[in-house]
Amino acid sequence: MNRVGRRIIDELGLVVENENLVVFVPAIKKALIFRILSRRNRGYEHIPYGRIPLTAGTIVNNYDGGTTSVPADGILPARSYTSGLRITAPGDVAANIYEKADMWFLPKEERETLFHVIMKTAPEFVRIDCQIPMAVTQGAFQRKATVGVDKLWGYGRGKFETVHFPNIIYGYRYGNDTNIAVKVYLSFTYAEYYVKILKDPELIFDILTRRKKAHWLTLIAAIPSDIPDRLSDVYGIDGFKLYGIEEKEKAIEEYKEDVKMVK
Amino acid sequence: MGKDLLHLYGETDGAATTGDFSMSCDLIYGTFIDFRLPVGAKLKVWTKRIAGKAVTVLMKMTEDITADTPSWSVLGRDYLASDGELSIEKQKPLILQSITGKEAVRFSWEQPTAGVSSVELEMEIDTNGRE
Repeated sequence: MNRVGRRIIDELGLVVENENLVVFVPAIKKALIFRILSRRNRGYEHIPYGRIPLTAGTIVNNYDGGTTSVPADGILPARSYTSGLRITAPGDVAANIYEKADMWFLPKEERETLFHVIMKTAPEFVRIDCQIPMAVTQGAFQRKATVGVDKLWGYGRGKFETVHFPNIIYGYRYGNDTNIAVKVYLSFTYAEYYVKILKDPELIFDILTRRKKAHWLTLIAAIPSDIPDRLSDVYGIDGFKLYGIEEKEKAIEEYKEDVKMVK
Repeated sequence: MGKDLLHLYGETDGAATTGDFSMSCDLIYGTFIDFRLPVGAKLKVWTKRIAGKAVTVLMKMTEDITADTPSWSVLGRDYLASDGELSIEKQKPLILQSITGKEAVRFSWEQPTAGVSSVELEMEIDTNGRE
């Protein structure tokens, strides 16, 4: 039974140790459940990153048609939006991480590490969406029409929250629908969790039917692309299917098979 | 969705008795005369500080900045009646909403005698809840 008033996330919006994080992937109607065993960066969750990793001379798309050249590093030109950008590592850590071109990328062997990332921009009117994997825009309407920073809707402004799975390259897109070029600054609040995938079918069922508390995050993923394969490469499974409360027996049987495959 | 509070600064050119302010701001690259609002946003002008030679500062808006010749209408006027300084704050903000994403504002001056005057604005861009 849940304790009344128990906090699953802290004041930063990050999951507290020994709680569960559910990452729901709408495209495949499945969810992965992670037990948060520890937060390796507790006490230093904030990164004042600096300007967006957009270099002078990069060609970006224009809302009014055509393209525009970026006039200086970190500047988002008037009426423009970017293609997917990887978040390059700041210089003082770049040499010692897996991929300096992308500070959030982890190889599939790092299955016990999960990044929970809350990105903020200044100014906050900047549009943000995320391609998962890179070049696959995940916003969709009726599963047919793509939406995102380049459309009338399908984006957030000033803030974007996601988890970064290992083995998947994410691409962030930024849009500026005003007529002035802006200096765009990024900051991150993040957790580097040490995680385990739950293996208790009863507990999995209780969490996925919301009978037990957990923090839920929906991965903005409307297009399956190769996400299931990449998740299976990392975790052995691509997630647990969601069932109704009346389908307990069927669900438990399926989860028993699923957990045998978990790496 | 969020709110930005921008500090804008502009000066008259000291030579013409009428004109449009070229504004600068720490988050903006270069300067601008017209500001096209993000679609769905509310723009709020919270404070104005006008200093220097006598000047009238006009806030103007157009509903369609993409028109070949946008039509500008005056939303507000503030008078610095004689040389000195005028602070306008602690009052309800002037609000402009972007419905179509084509709305824009600009700030202009009128002077009886040309001279250097400055205008500082605290302008909020509120994008909460309109998309």
